[in-house]
Amino acid sequence: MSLLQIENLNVDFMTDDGLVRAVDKVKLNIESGQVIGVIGESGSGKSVMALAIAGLLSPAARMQADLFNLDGHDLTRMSLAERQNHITSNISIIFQEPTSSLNPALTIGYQLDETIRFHEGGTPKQRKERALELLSQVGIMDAKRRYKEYPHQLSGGLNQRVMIAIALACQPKLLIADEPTTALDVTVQSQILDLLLKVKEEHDMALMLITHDFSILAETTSKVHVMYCGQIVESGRTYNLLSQPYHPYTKALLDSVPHFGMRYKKGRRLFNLPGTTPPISHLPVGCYLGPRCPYAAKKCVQSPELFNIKGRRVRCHFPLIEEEDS
Amino acid sequence: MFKLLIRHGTTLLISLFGLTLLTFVLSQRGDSALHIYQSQHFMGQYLEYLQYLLAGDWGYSSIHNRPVLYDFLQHFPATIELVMLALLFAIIFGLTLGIMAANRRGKWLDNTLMGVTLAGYSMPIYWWGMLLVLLFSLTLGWTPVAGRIDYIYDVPPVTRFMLIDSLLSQDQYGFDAFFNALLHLILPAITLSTIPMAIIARMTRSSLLGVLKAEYIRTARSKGLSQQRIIWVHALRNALIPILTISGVQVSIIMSGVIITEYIFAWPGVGKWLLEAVSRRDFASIQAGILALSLLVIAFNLALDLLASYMNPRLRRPS
Repeated sequence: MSLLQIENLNVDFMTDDGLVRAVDKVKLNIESGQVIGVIGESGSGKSVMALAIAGLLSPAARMQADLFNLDGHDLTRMSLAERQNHITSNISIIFQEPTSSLNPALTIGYQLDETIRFHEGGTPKQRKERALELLSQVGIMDAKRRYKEYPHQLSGGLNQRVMIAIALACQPKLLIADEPTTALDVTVQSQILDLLLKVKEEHDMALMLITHDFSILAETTSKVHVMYCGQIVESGRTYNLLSQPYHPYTKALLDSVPHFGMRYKKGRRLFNLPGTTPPISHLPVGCYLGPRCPYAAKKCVQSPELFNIKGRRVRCHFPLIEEEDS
Repeated sequence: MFKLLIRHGTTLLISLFGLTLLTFVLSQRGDSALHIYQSQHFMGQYLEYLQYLLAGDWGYSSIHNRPVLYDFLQHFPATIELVMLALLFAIIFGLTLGIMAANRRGKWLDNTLMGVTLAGYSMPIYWWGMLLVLLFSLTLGWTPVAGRIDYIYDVPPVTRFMLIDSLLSQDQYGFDAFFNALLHLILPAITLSTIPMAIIARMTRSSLLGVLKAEYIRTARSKGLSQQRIIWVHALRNALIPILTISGVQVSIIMSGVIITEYIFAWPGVGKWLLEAVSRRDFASIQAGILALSLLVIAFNLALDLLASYMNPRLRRPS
């Protein structure tokens, strides 16, 4: 059964340049227990999409969707309070900067405890036991000591573990991890990823991993969505998508990553896509990739729709299928 | 905590040194010498002056013909009473207005409150005090015009804090004396608290709005906590830290305002006493008054600083 179904999700921001669309016609489908990945450059709308799904957009943002089903309930028909309530009891989110995501003036224990009180309840003693249990579940060794400490006394990796513990205390069916390892160093990064996969199994959650690291996606996810300028440009099974990208943007992204065994040759450089990502307030007409795309043709001044091709969805008039097949 | 005390103690010592040096110079300006010094040197005399101060000998007023400390102790409680109430008003109402404004950012309530506080902030208090007297005392007749208590009440001075003394004399007057004293206190306290209240309100609003943008507020929201809880526990806890520091500065604003306010309301406190001393060139009293008021400012600032550090765990327990 699908846990989260979203169709045509739009998020607009009112800015000085007028209404700006940060997330454009996003279509998502997450099965329970599934691990999906979202990849894209900075500013491609991945985080805004995550915040929109988690109901955490700032008041300046406007969000609308044709379909927003979460755990069998239609959120578009709920009042704001009901929706918020339903979302917070089903979706948890962790962020890129664990240390600034925790309140500096409150102890780890307090921040965990209030979450447990809100979602599970119980006597103070039960709650404390539960909190210590959660802390050791996320691999914090001396949970009793850490319970009394403040975020600034913990390392970034530990704080991210605390964030995961807090997320688990909400007993979510979907955990959104918005670049959970970007601010951490590489060894801690793999520990946190392992931990996320472990708790995902133990708590039977779905996991949505937002990143700009292909290797993380390849290792953890079963399905990937590629975002560019607020749109999903390609989605498909991770292995297929990474080994044979259909969308020129996906291909360009993959080509720009150095990989193991690459030979160094004088004068040889990594592939780069000409130009820069346009600011979302000044998007080009038609396909947003058009002006930068090596395969662009006349037709590309029309906006492409999301096509279904071979079990994949691609937003391109000229998906790179024929050349690869021949 | 101990390290914190030492750090604050150092600044405290420096300000005390500057302060006593100033009052020492002032004490030598009078017609007759304030103290008798054995040393010939300036610094030697200064050290002796400090010894006199510590021994409770603050000089002798040739105008009143009694020790300065006596007069000072007569007037000091009245000032403390007024200052404390004004500070209480400023903090309570300043915080409340600031939180209300931040809660309804950009709405008419926010705009109105910010307009009102801007007006309060720019109000010259001698004029504002007189306006209040005109309205509440003379036109409406709700409050008395001046003084600490009506003369029909003969309250024995036990602590010299009128609110406490009037409560102590309950068997004689019941609560009448207390309410009478409170009515006398209310207008001067409002006058005195207007500017600090406005500053604290504006500071609270901007500090709270800044904190509400923080990432940990987003986390709190994602937990499903109520808006009340997010503001009062998660945001205010952090927003209060700069507000407390600012409140320390307000104490010195209140202290300079107290002189003029006491004059307007004929409040028998240190301010009024000090003004009289200035007009009579009573340097002994001036030196003692300045010393006392400044000590009070320093003490309040120290207390609020310590409180602010206590509220901020990053300062309390360095990692």
